[in-house]
Amino acid sequence: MSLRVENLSYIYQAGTAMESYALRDISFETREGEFIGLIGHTGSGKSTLIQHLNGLIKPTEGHIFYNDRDIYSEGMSLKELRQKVGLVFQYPEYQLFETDVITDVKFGPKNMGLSDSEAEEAAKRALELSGIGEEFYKRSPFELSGGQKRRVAIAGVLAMDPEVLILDEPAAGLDPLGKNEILSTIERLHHERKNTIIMVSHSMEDVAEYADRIMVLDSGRLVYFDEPKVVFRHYEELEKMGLSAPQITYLMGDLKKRGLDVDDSIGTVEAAKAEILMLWKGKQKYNKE
Amino acid sequence: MLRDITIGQYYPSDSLIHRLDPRVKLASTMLFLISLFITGSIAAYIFAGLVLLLVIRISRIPVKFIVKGLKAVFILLLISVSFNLFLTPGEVIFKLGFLHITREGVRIAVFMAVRLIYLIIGSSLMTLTTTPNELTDGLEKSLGFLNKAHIPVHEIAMMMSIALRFIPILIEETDKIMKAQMARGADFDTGGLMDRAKAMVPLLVPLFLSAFRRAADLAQAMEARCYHGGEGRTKLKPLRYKRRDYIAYFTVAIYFIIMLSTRFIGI
Repeated sequence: MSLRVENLSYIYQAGTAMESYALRDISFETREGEFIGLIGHTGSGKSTLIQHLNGLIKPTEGHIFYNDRDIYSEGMSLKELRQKVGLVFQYPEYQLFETDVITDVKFGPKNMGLSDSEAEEAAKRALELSGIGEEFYKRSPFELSGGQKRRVAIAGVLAMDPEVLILDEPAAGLDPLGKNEILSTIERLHHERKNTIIMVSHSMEDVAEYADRIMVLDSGRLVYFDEPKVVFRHYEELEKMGLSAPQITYLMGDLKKRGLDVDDSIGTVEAAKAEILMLWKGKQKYNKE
Repeated sequence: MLRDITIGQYYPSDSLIHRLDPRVKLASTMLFLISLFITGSIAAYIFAGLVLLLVIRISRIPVKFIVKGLKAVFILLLISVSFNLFLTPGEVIFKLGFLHITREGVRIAVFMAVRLIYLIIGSSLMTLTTTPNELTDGLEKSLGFLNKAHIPVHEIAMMMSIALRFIPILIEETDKIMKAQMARGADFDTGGLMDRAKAMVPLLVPLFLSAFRRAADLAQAMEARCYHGGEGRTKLKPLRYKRRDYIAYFTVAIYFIIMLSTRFIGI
């Protein structure tokens, strides 16, 4: 259940005056069941990269392997690949089209060749996972709130039971509450189903909280692919790419500059709290002695 | 695949043709189209073709790009050519069952094909070298006299420019929705006519919804900026003729006279 990308390049509008590299010589491999955060400035090639992973865009150069098989080799079905590698686009609620929620979610599984009752089962499971209650099944998807619509749209992909789930900015344009709901839904999915997840995001805070590894793209190149701690240590380079480390990392950096012995690669508020408390308790003990 | 449609698209470059006043390009295109229909001789079409090639050269647009635009209207071309080929009465030179090909039919079909191809290349040259905004500016100004007849020229021009502006956006949107539905296993390329028509539903419903949403947003944004039509509205960049524009008018006039004379001299 691994995705491997080798020397992938993609040239946009090849052969015209507008020709430009969208992706340049990208190689990486995912590990089973890991949560990857994909981050990069607008136009860095994030969306282009993820569309390569389920065969929606064909690379100009390079290869993509799913379970060690080239996805463009003979005998590989792209339709099957798209079931295994589920892709949730940005603003997925704009793809809803059916008259009621459950029929819309059934669209994917039915395309996979499941019978109506099997598709219904799959759709119900997916809706339950994404936190849409039974009372919504027969309602029009267009009547729901923004956050609910988005969860229905995500369920539409989940219903195909993908092994790898890719999400493009799943929280974009939602209010803080809706955003938390979506992100914790994804987190829960990751825990319960052990899927490999690739989440594209603008926000370092979100990525720092959930990701095992962070992938940083800049102008179509893969700059970093490592644990959050290691990536955040490069916060000065990140800033040059129009990105930044989480706010809390800067705070820890400032504390360290003031002479406090803290870890300045921490990326989440929780970890920072633990670190500061530990330091403070240590100090109290020292004062008592 | 949808990006292959080049009609109405703008090709950014910095050529003499790109810099011409849009009114010159509009008038020239009109004259070019008329010239195609007033002549009927091979020599005239060769001449017009050479002129067209020269203009393409000056405009620095790759020929490949223009040919790609022709592909989109290939079916239309094929239909009109075959109608003329098989349905023109006259001296029969080829017979296959109920199909007759006549000498006159061949002549008309070839001329029709050449005319249509020139027509498409000529008009797409204009849109390729002129931004939609320039184009509607040019139209508005050259048709300004119609205001006196109470025809809302500005409003019509604004509607045109908005429509043109939305073509690439909607193409992009279609592409995105198509991909998103493909990611859910939708299949747009296989199956019979009915299957394909049915497969369009997941594409068309979201597309219509988004078009309406965009239109409503735009209307609101325009109103928020106090748009109230053309009356008393001034331009940031008013159109003014330069020397090159007069030279262009002169050149086009010469071309038109040559084309016109071929008809009367009988070359």
